[in-house]
Amino acid sequence: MSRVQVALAAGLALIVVAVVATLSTARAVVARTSPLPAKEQIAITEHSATACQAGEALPGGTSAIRLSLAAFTGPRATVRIYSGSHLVVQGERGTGWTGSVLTIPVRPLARSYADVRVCVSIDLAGDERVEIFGTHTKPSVAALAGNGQALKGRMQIEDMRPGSRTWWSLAALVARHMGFGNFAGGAWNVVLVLALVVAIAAVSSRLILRELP
Amino acid sequence: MSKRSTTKARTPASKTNGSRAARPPAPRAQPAPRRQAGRQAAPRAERARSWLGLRAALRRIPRAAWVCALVAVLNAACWSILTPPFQVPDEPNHFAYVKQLALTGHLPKPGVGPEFSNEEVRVIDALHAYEIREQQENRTITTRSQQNALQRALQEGEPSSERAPVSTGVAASQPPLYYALEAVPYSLGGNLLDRLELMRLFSALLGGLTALFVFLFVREALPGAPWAWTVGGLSIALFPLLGFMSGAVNPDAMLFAVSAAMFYCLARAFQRGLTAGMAVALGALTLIGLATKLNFIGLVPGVFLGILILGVRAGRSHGRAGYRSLGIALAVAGSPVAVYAAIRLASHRSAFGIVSSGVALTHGSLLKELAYIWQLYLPRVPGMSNYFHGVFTARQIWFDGFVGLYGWLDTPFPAWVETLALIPAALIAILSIRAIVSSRAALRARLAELAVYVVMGVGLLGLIGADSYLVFPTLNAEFGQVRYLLPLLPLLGAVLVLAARGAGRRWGPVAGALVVVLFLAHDIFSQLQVLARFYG
Repeated sequence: MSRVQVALAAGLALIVVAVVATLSTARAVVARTSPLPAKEQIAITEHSATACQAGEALPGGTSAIRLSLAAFTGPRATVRIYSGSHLVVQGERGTGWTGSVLTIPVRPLARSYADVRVCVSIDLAGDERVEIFGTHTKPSVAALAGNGQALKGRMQIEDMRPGSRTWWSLAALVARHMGFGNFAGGAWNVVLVLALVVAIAAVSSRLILRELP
Repeated sequence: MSKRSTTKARTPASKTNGSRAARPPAPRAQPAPRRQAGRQAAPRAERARSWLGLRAALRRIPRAAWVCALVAVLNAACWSILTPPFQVPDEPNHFAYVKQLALTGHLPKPGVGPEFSNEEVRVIDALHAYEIREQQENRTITTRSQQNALQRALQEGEPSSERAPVSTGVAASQPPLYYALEAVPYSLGGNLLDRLELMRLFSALLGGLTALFVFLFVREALPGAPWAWTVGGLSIALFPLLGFMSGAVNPDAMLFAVSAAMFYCLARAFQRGLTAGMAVALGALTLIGLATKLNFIGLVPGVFLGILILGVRAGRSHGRAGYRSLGIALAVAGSPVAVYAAIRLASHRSAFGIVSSGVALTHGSLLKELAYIWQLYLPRVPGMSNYFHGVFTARQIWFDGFVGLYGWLDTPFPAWVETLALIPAALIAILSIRAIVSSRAALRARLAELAVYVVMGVGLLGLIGADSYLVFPTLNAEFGQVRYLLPLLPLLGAVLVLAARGAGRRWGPVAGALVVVLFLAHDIFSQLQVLARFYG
């Protein structure tokens, strides 16, 4: 075998191993979500700010907190969760995230906590604004800003943990979902995608072997 | 195709022309039909010769280049199936533009009519497209009842009856060429989702052209190691962001292809000289680019600089004939643009529409705008105000975006993948620099050509920066999206070729194979990421 053949074979084998390993991991699932009926903007800030929300629960095994914060080039954000005055767990996401959902990983929790306070700190320097989404509520149950003032409602907070099902076991479900909302219904989409990926890998490999000495 | 071979190919045609021209005129008494037949025969023969010339030119393209194009088409087709309808930036708007053009023959006018047609709104609603967009917690429709509702929305849609004007939102300001071409697949029929897929497949063909021209560009620009051309062309064909954008309805797909063709023509002209044919090609490509997407204007200063340098060189070596080529290129490229600008200025509008406003200062001084544009790409230098607090733009906006940001910029890789990707990126950079250093003497002789590519790149970056500055600080970097840099894909192809060559003669092909495998892996895992995001 030539060096190129060895490199190609090793590279392709590595891809297969990595794909198998990835599909053998468990999908993250929502362990608990705020029971909110709508998703509305409850606050907008152009400066560093903190918002705390009481009356939350934290299931055991939680490994990330998903917040509905929106920014284009997001600033550093920190989440701290308190039980009374005791800091249960905290996590941080650096600058540069984009979108309207921010997932902040935290140290996996060994047990559940009831009635915790979730505090979110945004480290802005007066450039881009950050929007916080949730549901409008009465001020008495709304999240509170750092100065104690009530926001327009409660923040959307979701607790994430690793699921029990691997991607392999979800394959049939994913294939079914791919059959909806697309031009060719049913399993054809899955078959087409798989056939195309195999064809791309085969044609590319053949070209490498033909052209590279 | 070398200059010599071009001459060879054209010589017989010229002789034939000459012999026809030397024929005595037909006698007056000759019947009219025969005279007409004679007049028609010449253009027919001319057409036949052009056709043969084109076929010969196409035959001279290496088979590897066609295979790269095929891989890019297959890849974009795969992305077109994988990405849910309307989950690509601005796809609903571009679809609306095509529909308006196809059904009414008129361009959309900003602010006139609703953003989308009733049919499109119904389907978007049934797909829950706005609930999915930018909200990672939401998946595509997943139940039979939702699918049935979608089918009803698709059947309710009666496109032929919808001729009311729509404004198409952000797409309205774009020139019409891509949309006019997309009107063909749109008109092939079926329901809205069928037409959307046909339009996406047309974009996929343009993705193939992009890979083809990247291959041809690296062949002209870096002719030293033919095996390495495949590394550049194939890696670009597998580049997931190209597949994602070329698997969608978006004029970016055509912009990438036209830009790659422009890089190829410039490289070819620098290698072989500016002929009249190449001058026409450069001018025509400039026009096509400007009629495709306004972003092309960022490349124009570099293109004109290139034409100027090539024209002066041709003038020095071929005298008046050389300067004539310069004139042809500038006339073909420049005159319609000048007429367009003159008409707009005469009607008291900005010369180039949205581009004029993009480069105009809206707030602050020119120095502040330049400082902003600098920091959008590079670390701040002492003395500049800080426009991106705590954000390392080169890494967090551009590199992380290059690694992967799909859907409506709502489908990134985990942060650890972006960090891991720094390792192969650094290796590729080191190998490329090694190749550049070892061939610096050859590079010195091509400084003018390099300067042209640099001006094209800087022009595009400047345009993106100026447009982003318009909405700053409401949004830090609205146009800080890697897809806007993809007109520079040929330069990435060149970097990858240099990286393979930088590993040396012995290990170069191995490094090249690994670079291609890296891009294949990048593509596969990007698709898995999208799969998990939308269907998981």
